[in-house]
Amino acid sequence: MNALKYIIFCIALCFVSNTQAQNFEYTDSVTEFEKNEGDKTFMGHILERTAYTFKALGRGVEYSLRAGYEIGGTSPMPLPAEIRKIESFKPKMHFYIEGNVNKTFKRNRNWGLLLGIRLEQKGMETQAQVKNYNMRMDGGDGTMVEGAFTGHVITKVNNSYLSIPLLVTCKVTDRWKLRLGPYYSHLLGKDFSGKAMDGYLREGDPTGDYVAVSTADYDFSNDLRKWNIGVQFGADWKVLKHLAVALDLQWGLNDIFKKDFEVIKFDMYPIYGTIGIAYLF
Amino acid sequence: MFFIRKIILTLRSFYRYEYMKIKSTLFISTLLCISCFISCIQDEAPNAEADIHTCFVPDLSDEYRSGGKTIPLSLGAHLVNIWVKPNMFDKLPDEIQLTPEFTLTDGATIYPYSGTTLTFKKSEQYEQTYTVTAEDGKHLKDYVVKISPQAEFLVGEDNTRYFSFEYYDDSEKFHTLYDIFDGEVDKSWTSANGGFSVVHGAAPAEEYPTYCTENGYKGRGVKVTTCYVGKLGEWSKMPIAAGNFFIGTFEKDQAMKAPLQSTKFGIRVMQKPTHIDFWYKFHREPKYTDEKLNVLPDMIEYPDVYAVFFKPKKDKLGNDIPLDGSNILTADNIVLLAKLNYDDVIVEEGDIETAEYHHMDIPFTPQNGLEVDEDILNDGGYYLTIVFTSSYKGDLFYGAIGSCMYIDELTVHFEPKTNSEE
Repeated sequence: MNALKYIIFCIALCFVSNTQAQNFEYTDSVTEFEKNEGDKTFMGHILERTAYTFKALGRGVEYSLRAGYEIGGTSPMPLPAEIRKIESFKPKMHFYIEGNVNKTFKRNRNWGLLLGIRLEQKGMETQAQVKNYNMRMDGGDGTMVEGAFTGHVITKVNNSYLSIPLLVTCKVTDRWKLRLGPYYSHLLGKDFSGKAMDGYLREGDPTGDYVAVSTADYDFSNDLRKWNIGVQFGADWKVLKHLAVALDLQWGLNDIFKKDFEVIKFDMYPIYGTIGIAYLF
Repeated sequence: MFFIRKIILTLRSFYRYEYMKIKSTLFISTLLCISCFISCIQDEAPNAEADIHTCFVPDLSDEYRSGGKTIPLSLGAHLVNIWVKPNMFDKLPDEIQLTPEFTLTDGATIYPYSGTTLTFKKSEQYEQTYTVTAEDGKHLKDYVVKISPQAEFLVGEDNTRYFSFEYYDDSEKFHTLYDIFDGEVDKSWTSANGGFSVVHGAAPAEEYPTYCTENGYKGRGVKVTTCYVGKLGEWSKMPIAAGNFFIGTFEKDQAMKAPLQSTKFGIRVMQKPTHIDFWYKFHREPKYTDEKLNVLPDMIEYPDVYAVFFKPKKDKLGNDIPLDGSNILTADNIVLLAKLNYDDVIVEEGDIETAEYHHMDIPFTPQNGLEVDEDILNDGGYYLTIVFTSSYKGDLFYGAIGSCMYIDELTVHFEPKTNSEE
């Protein structure tokens, strides 16, 4: 890919140095131009022109391809009083792949704008001790229990997204480049489920009917919001000319659940970090 | 802009000196700081529950009192019954002063205060209302504390008790059958419908395992059906609910955790039963499944009917311990048992709705080498329960979904009272 770009660049350079003066002839008459150029075909010329245009547009444009691991948690922020203790936290390492274009500004080459497209999966598993945690166990077939649960709750999240970050980049040194900006994520695959264990549920509210629970499953996958926006902050550390280590933090800013979903009373946000390798073209 | 540029330039010169590694450490530590901030556990909120756990009534005389001085309550209850002996209830004075003391959820308060002497009046059905306020001050729960006669199996002058199963209460989402005897409402019969309603709140009454059907032998009758509980039931390891109908109480609070312990069987009885007879019809579904809904091709469904006469044991507080689903047929304190012989069951081949009823008579037989002691009997020391179910292994969640039994016109026959001859 890079080699191809290099060749195009060379051709464009030749084009600029050799054909500046002949442009008038070219515009006047194609046949005359063909005579002068002799061995050059019309199509070949068009190709050269296109390459030139692209070069002009693409000045200060950098392409990169990134891949790596994504790790983090989906959590209320800050933790509500209903959560008494995090008994276990198992982040899931998921692979992500991203391609992006970084265009630097004309006025200051250190600053630029990055547009990307990323395929990612955000997953984790936690066990928490809760008190009066509002929850609903829904079989999806008319069977349902809803109320305040006290006991232990396991939450499993495994969502895949197609994300589009739009970030401002800043080259701090030749090796370091920082980026910051918003991103948009579209939900592709969804799983938000878990288990309530060893506790009891008060139907409706804490003064409602008491239902002892040894183990019961729940699944809120269908209540997940289709989209998510957030802020991303990251850095590239250039190790080699074309290779960089990339670190990013993505902080979701809207609740992962639909607006009308009220079983979990507090908003939950995906907060994930990525570590990966970027190939810079 | 100039200022930011200055900062960046300073940073640049800083990094030029190969401090890259420090930078990455800084970055990671920033991440760590953020994650610490996220994981801060907040202070525990004040308790939101407002329950009475026990009620201690020291000043009711032994002459009236039935059971111990401390009354344990199931969580979620709204009624505290101070039990008196059934035969002594009418002899209670019109006004009686009691000083109930309560144990409550941590931090909760009660009004009138625990230990306040109150007057329970006959004109007010011996009732007092208490309000419990949770520690958070936001959640309140009202309780009725009431002097009640302990439930007793009432027997007619002719030494029989006849149930026609005509009356039901649908104030809840399902039918609760009751009887009227001597002009008084008798709520001895119950079912586990309350457990089914926990997960299946939206189902209409006729889809509940126990239902008061119009298609009785005479008038209305009882229909018990083995029902599929739904996905939530499967997740809670309780995929089916066998229809059941019994004398006793059902404790909903433990129904999802310990379903066998949630059916408390039996009420006090003052006469020795001899046999029961009733009318029934039974429909069998072929697909028999286990507790994980695996099909068991070799098994076939039977209903079950049993009447158990037993001498309850006492707990530490001096209260009677009824039998429950875990020991109703196996306990060593069972004195008499009348149990259905599965070979006698007539299975309907055609439409169950239009099928004819069949008569069944089951005698009581002595169990565990025990004999009925007349003195204990006259003192109310024996309990009796009668159980109908649509799946004979429903307690293990084995059964054929859709199998059902109709029951009507039950008569329980007793030996004449001995003390009446005295």
